[in-house]
Amino acid sequence: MKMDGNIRVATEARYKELYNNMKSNGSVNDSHDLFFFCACIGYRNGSQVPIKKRDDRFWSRTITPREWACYYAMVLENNSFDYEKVADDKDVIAVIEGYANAGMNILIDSFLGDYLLPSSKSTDPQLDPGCCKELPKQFVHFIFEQSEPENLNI
Amino acid sequence: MTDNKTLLPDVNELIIEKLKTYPPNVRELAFQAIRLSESYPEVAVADQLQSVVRKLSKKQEGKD
Amino acid sequence: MILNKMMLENFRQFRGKQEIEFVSPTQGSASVTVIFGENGRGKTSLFRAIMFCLFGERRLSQDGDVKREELQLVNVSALEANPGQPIRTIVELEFTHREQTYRLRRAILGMQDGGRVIEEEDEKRLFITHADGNTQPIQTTDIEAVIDSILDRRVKDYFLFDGEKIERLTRASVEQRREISAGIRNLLNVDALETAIKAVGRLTKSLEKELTNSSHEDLSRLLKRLGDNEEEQGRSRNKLNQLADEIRLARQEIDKTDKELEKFNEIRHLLERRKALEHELHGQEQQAADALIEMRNLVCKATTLIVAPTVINVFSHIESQKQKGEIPSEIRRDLIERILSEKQCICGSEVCEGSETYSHIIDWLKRTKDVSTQDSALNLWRYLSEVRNHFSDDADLVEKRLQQYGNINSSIANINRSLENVSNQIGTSERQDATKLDEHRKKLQESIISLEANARVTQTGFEQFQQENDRLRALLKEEKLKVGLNDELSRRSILARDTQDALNDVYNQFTREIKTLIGESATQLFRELLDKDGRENLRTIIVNDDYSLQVLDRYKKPFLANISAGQRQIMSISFIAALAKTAAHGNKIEIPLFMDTPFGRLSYEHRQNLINQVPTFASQWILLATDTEFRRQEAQLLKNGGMWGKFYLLRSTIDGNTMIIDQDIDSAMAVLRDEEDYL
Repeated sequence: MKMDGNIRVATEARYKELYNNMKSNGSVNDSHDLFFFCACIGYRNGSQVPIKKRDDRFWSRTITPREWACYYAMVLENNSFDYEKVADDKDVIAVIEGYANAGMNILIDSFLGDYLLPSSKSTDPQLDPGCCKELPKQFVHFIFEQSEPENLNI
Repeated sequence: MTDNKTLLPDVNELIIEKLKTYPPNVRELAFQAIRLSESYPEVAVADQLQSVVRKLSKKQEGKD
Repeated sequence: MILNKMMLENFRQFRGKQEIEFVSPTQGSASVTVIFGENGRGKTSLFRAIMFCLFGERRLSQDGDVKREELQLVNVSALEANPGQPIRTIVELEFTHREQTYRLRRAILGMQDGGRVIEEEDEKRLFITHADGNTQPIQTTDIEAVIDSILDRRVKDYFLFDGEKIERLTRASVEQRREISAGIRNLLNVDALETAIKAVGRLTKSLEKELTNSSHEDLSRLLKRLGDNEEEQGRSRNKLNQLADEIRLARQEIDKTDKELEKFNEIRHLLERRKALEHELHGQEQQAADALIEMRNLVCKATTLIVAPTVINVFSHIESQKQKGEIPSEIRRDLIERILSEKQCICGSEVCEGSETYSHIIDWLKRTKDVSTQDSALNLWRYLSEVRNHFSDDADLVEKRLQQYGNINSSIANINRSLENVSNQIGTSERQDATKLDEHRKKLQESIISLEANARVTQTGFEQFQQENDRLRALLKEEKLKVGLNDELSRRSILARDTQDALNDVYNQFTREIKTLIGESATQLFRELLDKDGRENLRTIIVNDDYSLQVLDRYKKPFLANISAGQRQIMSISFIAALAKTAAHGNKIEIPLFMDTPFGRLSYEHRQNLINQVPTFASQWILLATDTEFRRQEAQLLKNGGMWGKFYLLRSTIDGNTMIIDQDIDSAMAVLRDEEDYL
């Protein structure tokens, strides 16, 4: 659990354009934000999909300590709190990539699909620039739906 | 009846009165100019005044 | 000249035969005829009919650049009702002048030809009934001369006081000076003198050119300088005329735009409301954009809420390990390993394999993590603690931002609904051009300001050229004399120049005298028309050398810039009346005076003074008024003065024409409005 900054974090190659679109049109601040969001969705839904065709997306040094903490928590919880499983950051990232991949699939199925260029949905999905102004609000709304406020009373 | 030609002030009388203070040649040339202007346009009047001014000038020379 | 009556047949908006009888002082004491009607009913057309009948003229000075062909006189309905048939338009005027009664009739024939109307002169007849009762027909060829002897056509426009003319004279501008200069020139009737001055000037120029070519160097140089200077001055004069024309056209364009804008007045408040709504919408859209940015930033923080259960779970686990002493371990792992390998406790006791103590120590070993793992776990615990502490705030923020964005969107939707509502009320896209017309008008006003500034500069330049001309002429005269009286060409040139100066002197003297006369006459009337406060301070109207008007205060200082709009209007009226008096050559104006909506911006006292004073200097007053100008208050004033004799109402008919309705004065009061009707 060293929060290694020298790891290349990858996504499914077909999501390369989508990640780039989201960044460039201001739907997300940075790729690691979107990756974190997808990873949380994937983990929350108990879904992990191994990457078929890897494509490096960003360096792990952009991952914030809060995000790392959540990643470690996910891996620990899923492995009966075996600290061995979180000893190597590369292994942690490999697991989280699977959750992120699943999370992106869930996202597209939920609402993101409506914001994609129809012709690109089956191949390399791309954002329709004409109608993605409100995506940040859609993300926040999704967070609101996915989280359980009653469990947050500490 | 209000005479169209003599609306206030009486132009002809004023011309005569005012020009009295000028030398005879000037008076004569002025009267000729006004008289011709009653019937002819500007260019024609200027042309005709050429001979008038020549005559008056020669008359002046004879007197000198 | 006193008008008795006028008959119109198919003239402009007056369809069929209609008649007006004018009140005349010859019939009693009354001299005021009121013709009452809204704008466009034909008040000015009545004056136009008189001018057409007297002089065969269609154009009035207010028509500006409108072409003669566009001033149609034949009634449109009559033409349309009789397609292919010629329609006769007739104006017949009966008036009295110096105990003789004149009956003048003028007619034109109008006919539709494709899309346009052709009008041709038809008949022209004049009969004079003398004091002895004998009636004499006048030859058609002599009619013009007879009429001109009664009223010079050049001054006819001074007997129509229309609101626009009054307004023009209130402005200190090139246009005002031109108007006054033209008025004075017309009064003087010095055509021959003006032609003579120009002719002698031409002669002088030609002689001086000859002299330049054949003479003395110094003389030649002076002549050239004078020639160049006169040319520059000529260019200045042309520029001034051009600027005056441009200003006049811009003003006409503004008037035209105002007439267009009047149509939009009813929707002006809607246009303003729409503008306000659009501004508000823009603000809300801006807020929406900002809200989206905030939400984008929130996504990073709030995503942890999705895995909150995991965070809490892991945090709790590490917390419990801490409490159990596992993290950090109460006994270090390397120490336990040493105990196991040496099979000896730190207290010295033996630790045998298989013993209970040995099992406990093995369990400890299993539970104990290595140092780096313990450190990492502790760090993780700290980060998870921080994430966990923010859950509540982050959840609140998510809810708040979503609500805020929802509110903004609602607001936007409401504004859009209101905008749609307002736009529907505004109507067609043509009417939405009111804003464009407004902008066009503003640009025209700006251009007028710029042109007037340019004209002032050019005027200064023109005056400087004049001064230089005078100086050069004086030098030239000296030089010519030096060259020698024996030089005949030189003599001729001097004679021509002297004569030109003499004629200019005479002309200037005339105009000075007439300006003084008009100024005195205007001042007298001005002080009678002003209210009490105005009389206190405003003393004299003068016509300046440059033909601009000025008002002097009690200290004889120029005060025009400080007088009110109403006082300016009184000044204009006084000036026009003074011109009319001078043109009529007497203390009382023996020509009928038409005043078209003269009350405009006048206060009640000013109106009162005007109503009381005009009948004292005009033998016959025809007042053309609208409902906002002539109310019960003004009618009562007229009635009290005993000068009001006739009231005609111009009423529009279904087919867009006008009927002249003769109403007695008492029932006229019922038609008129009170001041309260406007509050």
